[in-house]
Formats: sequence, structure tokens, C-alpha cells
Amino acid sequence: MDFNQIDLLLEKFWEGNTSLEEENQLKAFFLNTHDLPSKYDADKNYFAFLSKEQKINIPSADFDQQLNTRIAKEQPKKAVSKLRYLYLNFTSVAAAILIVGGSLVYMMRPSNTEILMTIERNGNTIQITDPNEALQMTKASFKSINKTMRQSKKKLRPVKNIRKIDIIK
Amino acid sequence: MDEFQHKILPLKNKLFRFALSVVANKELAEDLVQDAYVKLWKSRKQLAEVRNLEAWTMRMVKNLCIDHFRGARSYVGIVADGIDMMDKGAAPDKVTEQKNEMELLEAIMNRLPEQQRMVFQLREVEAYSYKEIAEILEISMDSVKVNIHRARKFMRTELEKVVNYGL
Repeated sequence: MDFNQIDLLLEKFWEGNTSLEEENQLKAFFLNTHDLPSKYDADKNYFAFLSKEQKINIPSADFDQQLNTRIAKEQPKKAVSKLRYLYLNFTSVAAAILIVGGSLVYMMRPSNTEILMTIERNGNTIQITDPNEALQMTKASFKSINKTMRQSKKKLRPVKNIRKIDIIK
Repeated sequence: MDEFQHKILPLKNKLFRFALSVVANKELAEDLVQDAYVKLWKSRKQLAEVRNLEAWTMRMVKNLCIDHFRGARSYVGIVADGIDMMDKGAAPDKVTEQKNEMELLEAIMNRLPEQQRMVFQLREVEAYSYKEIAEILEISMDSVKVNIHRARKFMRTELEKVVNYGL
């Protein structure tokens, strides 16, 4: 590349009208050409500066290690919080199931107050759940039946004649 | 996960240079890049859906740098490795005290306004296209072109002062 071309490119460059390719040509020219006329001193310094800037790297040798440590700190936090989140959800659901299930079991449990006897007294229906009371009532019933049977037996008379028609009826 | 390991991690030096161009402090730039990586790691599941991962990552670093200054900014000037970047009146005198020409140029670059400095870094050092720069900085392509033109003009003028007059 001759100096005329360089001058044209430089003019375009300082006006901000060069393409990336043209800028790369200028960079390469000024980095690789020695013993340039003094009129290019400013340009040469400029492109040398850009080249130096491109070589700047992160100074800390343990940058990656530091980053890994920070990222590692992020991971367990996230895992723990996720586990805790799941645990809380699980316990909430379990508690709800226990409450609903317990209520259903309680409501559907067999009744302790089983009705042992139902009697009618003066037109009212009475349910007896106490076993002792039921026993006493049963005994009383049997006694009553027994008494009635004995009284009725005394009134029995032998049958003198039975007509066929009475049997049929 | 693949995106993070194979596409984003290798960008670390590029991200560092970009952060350094914004904050002008090596330790802070490194910390901000670390922050960006942690943030990216947390959102690694969405990385596969990102169209231009490199531009997206650079934009994240830019935002972290700007957020950092928004949070801490009530400053008159940023002290960048001992060089006052914002005091334009005093900077040339200080700059001339530097022996190394590269340090002089760095000081000149650091005197660029923030957006020009970012455009300068992305174009001149990292060789991104105007379109990519527009995407990273979330500005129009015209704005990118204007910024690069002004940045070069400023750098050229200041450089000539140093070369010709030793200022």
C-alpha cells in the first residue's frame, strides 16, 4: 500500500467514514511499517495505542477461581431454597390432608350410643341405649307376658264341637 | 449452560477492557465483570434464547458500570489510576508529566465523554460494527457514527498537541 492510499484512508478514517476492513488495513500498516515520515507520528502513535489496548487482559490470575467460588455460592443457596420450598409445600399439603382426613374419620366413626331397644309409651317412641335399662325393660316385658299368659290360661275351656265351616273361616 | 461456558466465559478479557474503559479502575472493572458473570449464571437458562449473546453480555456490563456510577456518583471527577479524567482544564498539564506516550493517550482517551469513550472502545479496540455498537449501547447507528467521529477528532487533536508541541 503506497502513501497516497494511506493518506486517503487516513482522511476517511479521521472523518469516521472507513469500514472495519479499511480500519484493519490501517492498523496493520502502521504496526508493521517502520521508518515512517514524521508527518505520520501522530497516526502511528494512535494505532500503536489501539494495539496496546487490545492486549489488556484481566490482571488477576485467580479471576476464574474467584468466579467459580462465587457461582458455587449461588448454587447451594438456590438448591436449599428450592428444597425448602418443596418441603414447605409438602408439609402444607400433608397438613391439609391430615385435617380433612381426620375430620372425615371422626364424622364417619361408628356411634358409641347404639340403640338397643325401641319402645312405645303413651304414644311416644322411646329409644333405649343403656344396656342395663334395656335388660330391665326386657325382664319387665317377659314378666308381663308371663302374667298375662297365666291369667288367660285360667279362662281356657275345652272345645265341645267344631264345625267344619269355623275351621275353614 | 453450553452458552455460558463456551460463548460467554471466553469474553472475559473483552468485557474487562470495556468495563475498564467506562470505570477507569482495574479492580472495580474486574468486580463489575464478576458481577455480570454471576448475573449471567443466574439467568443461564434464558441464554439459549438470546439472539446476539455477545452484544447482550456487553450490554449487561455497560449497564452494570453505569448503574455503579449512578449509585455512587456525586463526583466532580473520576480518579482513574491516579489520573483525573474529568477535570479537562487541568488534565493536559498532568498528561504532559507522563513520560510514556501510551499513558498520555490513555489519559486523553479517558477525557472523552462517557458515551464517546464507550463507542471508541467498542469500535477502535474491539472492532465491532456500527450496528453491533448500536445494539450494545442501545443507541441509533447515526449516534454511533457521530460519536466515533467526535472521539477520533478529539483524540487526533490532542495527540497532535502532544506530538507537535509536547503539551
